[in-house]
Amino acid sequence: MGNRSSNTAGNGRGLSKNARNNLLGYFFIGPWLIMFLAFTVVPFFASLVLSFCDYNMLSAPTFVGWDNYVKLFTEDRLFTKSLLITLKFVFISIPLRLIFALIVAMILNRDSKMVPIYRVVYYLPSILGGSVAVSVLWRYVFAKEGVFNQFLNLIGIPCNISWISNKDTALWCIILLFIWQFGSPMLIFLAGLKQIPKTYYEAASIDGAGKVVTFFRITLPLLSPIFFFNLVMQMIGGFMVFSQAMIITDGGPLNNTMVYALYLYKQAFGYYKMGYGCAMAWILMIIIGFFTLLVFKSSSAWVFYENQISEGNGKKKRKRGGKKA
Amino acid sequence: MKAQRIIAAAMAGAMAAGLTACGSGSSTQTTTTGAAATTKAAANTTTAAASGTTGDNGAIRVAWWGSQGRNNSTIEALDAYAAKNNVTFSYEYNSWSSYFETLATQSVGNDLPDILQMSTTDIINYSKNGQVIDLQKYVDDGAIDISKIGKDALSGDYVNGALAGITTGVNTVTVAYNPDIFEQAGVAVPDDTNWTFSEFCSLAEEIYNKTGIPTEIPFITEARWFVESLVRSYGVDLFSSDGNSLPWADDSKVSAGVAKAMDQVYKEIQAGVFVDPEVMLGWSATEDSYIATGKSAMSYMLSNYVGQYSKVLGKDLGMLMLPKADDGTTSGMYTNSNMYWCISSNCKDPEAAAKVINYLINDEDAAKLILTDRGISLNSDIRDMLAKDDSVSSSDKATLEYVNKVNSVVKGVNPPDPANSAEAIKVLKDDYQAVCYGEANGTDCMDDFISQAASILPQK
Amino acid sequence: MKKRNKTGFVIKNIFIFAFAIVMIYPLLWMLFSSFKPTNTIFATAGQLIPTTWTTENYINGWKGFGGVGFGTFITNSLIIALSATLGTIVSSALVGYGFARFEFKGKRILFTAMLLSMMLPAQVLMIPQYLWYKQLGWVNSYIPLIVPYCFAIQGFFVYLFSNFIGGIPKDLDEAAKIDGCSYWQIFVRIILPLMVPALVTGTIFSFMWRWDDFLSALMYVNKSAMYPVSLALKLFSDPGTSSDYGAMFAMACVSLIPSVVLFLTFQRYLVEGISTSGLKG
Repeated sequence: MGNRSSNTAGNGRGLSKNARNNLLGYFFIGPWLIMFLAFTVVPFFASLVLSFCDYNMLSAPTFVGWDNYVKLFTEDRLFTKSLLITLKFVFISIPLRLIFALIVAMILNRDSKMVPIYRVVYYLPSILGGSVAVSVLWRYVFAKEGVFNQFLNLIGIPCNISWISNKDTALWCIILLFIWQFGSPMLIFLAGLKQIPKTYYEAASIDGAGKVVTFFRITLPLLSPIFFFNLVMQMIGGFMVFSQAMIITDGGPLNNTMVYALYLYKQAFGYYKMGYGCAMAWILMIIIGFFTLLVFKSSSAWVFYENQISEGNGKKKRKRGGKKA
Repeated sequence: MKAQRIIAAAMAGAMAAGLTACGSGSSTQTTTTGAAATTKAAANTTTAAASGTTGDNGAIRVAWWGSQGRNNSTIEALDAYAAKNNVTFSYEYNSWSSYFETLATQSVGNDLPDILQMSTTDIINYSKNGQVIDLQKYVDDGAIDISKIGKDALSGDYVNGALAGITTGVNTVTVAYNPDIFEQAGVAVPDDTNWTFSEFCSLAEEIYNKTGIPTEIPFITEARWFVESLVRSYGVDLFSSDGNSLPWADDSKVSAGVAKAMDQVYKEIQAGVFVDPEVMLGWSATEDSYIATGKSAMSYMLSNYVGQYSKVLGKDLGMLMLPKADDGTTSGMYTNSNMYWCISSNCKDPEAAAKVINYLINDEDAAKLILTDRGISLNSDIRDMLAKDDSVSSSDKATLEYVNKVNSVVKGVNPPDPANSAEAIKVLKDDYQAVCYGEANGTDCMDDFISQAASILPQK
Repeated sequence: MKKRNKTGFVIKNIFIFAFAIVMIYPLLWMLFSSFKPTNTIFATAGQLIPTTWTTENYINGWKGFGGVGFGTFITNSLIIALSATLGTIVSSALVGYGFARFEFKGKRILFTAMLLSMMLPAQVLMIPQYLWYKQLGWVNSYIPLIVPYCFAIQGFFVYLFSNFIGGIPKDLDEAAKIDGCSYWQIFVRIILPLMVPALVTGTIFSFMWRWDDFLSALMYVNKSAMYPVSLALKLFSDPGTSSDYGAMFAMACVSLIPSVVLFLTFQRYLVEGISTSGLKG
């Protein structure tokens, strides 16, 4: 197998640079491309078609034109509400989760006896995922007689709010759960920090740079592609947040935690309106796409690539080139 | 199914294109396919070892949702049937939250299990769209014996004239009360045959004033049960029989009566007589609720929950029929099917499946295992047997007695909820909670529910 | 100066420790609850340590449902998660390499498409995908749970790896090319060793996500004996009947073990910083 592959890869040499790049590029992305076309692109467009249909899954879809979209924007109160809740959720929880993940990753990026233990401890909540156990657990922490209130009382703040079912605080419980499970971006930061060559730090310390300066001049710029990746991924994940809200509050109280994806799910499977759900999904995709585009557009100002993915399009400057020399 | 074929064809085309494209092949492909084949073989071995069946050849697929107890008892009952009747079963049990998601998807692929457990809210969709078959034929030919059930009791099983499923058992609504707290407050157990919601509130107030013990808000998480009992006390059903409207929508007396009751609820919450809605919505398990911990005097609940709450409390809760609206004319009580057994249209041998359903609803040995888990059986023999059976707890026996009592007041079983009703019921729930939280008043709630239901319910 | 540093050090460590407690408290609660008699769990929710210890929950939970033991579910999950993870990592690394190092036609479009595909909720793709798998006869087997992952179906990993490969200086590739390495050899000898931290991270994620995934398992695995853990765990509770939370907590704790073991074994490679030595060259 190895032989065959290296032959194919080697064969590229006789060709022009462009042709070789095409051949090699498609050779490496080939396996993905096939599956992607079949199992993602086709269902992808199927959902677009369904979004123009009245489809209850139990009988054949009927074409209804823009009906679903019109209904969403004109009649559906919860649609707007859930969208606003989701935006609030994303704009509060994602920055916090990322900053948190970065801080912890920095702390845990040391060689010390305790570090492996702490890593496990900080990562454990993320392993738990969205299981039923988490929902029970979280509801008990933030219940009226829960651990959180016990703690507040202990430090002298008397409090008897039932956080999980208070109409103003319920969303915060979900935000907090989302932040609590910051393990994934943390690990990616950690891997990113490992990739920064020690030589840079050595050079900086010879130059007499302090910790703060080193962080802003070396760590942050070198970590910026990773930060960018985390931001994009977390944003996508944040807009699609679903299980946390479903298992803990199921959208309540008073629909104040009815995040978009949860509402979509209820429409599609709870009320047998898959066509409507697909329309919601496409609107969501456009919204996420818009914000992702914004992040991508802004990236030239703050992301520094050694060799960036879109190299050759000549859009991004090699800002770090000078320092390396 | 035309669209399905189009999607399938489109996919087949795309897939053929995909396969040609991958003709050149890549190194990972071969490796991974090999790995998958190995794992598949491994998977097959585990299946075979565990269930004793290797494939779909002849096994009857039975699907239900439930907890560990139901899974075990159902499997035990069906295994016993399989041993005697030379059939094999494949069990597809699931959690409530994901059950219907799976069924909907399987229905798209014409791959529904043979026998399905159905809920009152979902059965209509499956029946109307031809995904579950009309069982009348199997009742007529004797495969399903309803002689001990009676045609009246099955009134709730018909969807547009078709026998969509057979009720596994019924339940009803009740005001559960803690007799100790009644005694402590020195109040008498009220006569529940003709009492009104105001009388219920006064009783709660009296108990609260004497003992400081509150009463729970009526059905805060399922407003529908509360409203239905009030509406029915005016002699009308919550949904019209064709499922397209609220038959009482234009009767201002009904909506005003319900709105008044809701405003009373809010007043009692403010006074501390009813438990704070925030507290109630914060409960996760039976063990949290005030009624199960002796911290509340009364609680609206479904009859099939009483046993469980009594068990946690360590003492049997009393059961009262629901009060009617103040100017209501009749009892608002009703019974519901707890769930149904249905046969899917994908079933290859409906006759055999019908016999299995017959066994599940009529066989005494099966009933001894399943007990009241799927509601109180409609089969009179089984009811009598359970009333005497030692393995039935005293609270379950009390429930049985209570259901018998309710049955003497109301006739027949409620029909399944109409199509689209789930969404309307959710609107009602949200609006009612808004009243409890003081965000709206009873009139707002009813106005909104009536107008929303009008746009949600009608069928195209 | 030195003294201040020491106080700072102590304060910092106390903070890290206190914070670790906050992070792990809910888990400890679950662990200890699983040793409480199931009917006292909620009554004594405010108390961490059980008054009476019992292993009954573990015995009950391990029995599983209707004769299918919990061990079977764990084995099933291991088969699914391990093979899907292996497939994901190998294929995603290759595809990530392709995206990071070659300028081929249509790359930007494909890359955008990959990102877009992550923005559509899985629920709406489920039915068309299901029809596909049914067409192929894959339903009621583990194939839909494994094979697509061997083809880098999760854009997340492709993007993750291509991002990390993008961070490896191209000079190294160039040098190797001059030494006569083919692209395949560059990938295996230069890129792969340098991206170990990323691979480790990816492995941990992939395993964890496959382990937790129940949505696809729901669709494609009908027979209870083939259920994975994620699905089985949900079967302990039912809103309509009393739930055995004790058994559920116990089995939730058991089901954490593989992920924790994997994390413990693999996180070692996050420390060694192989990349640094490579980059010095």
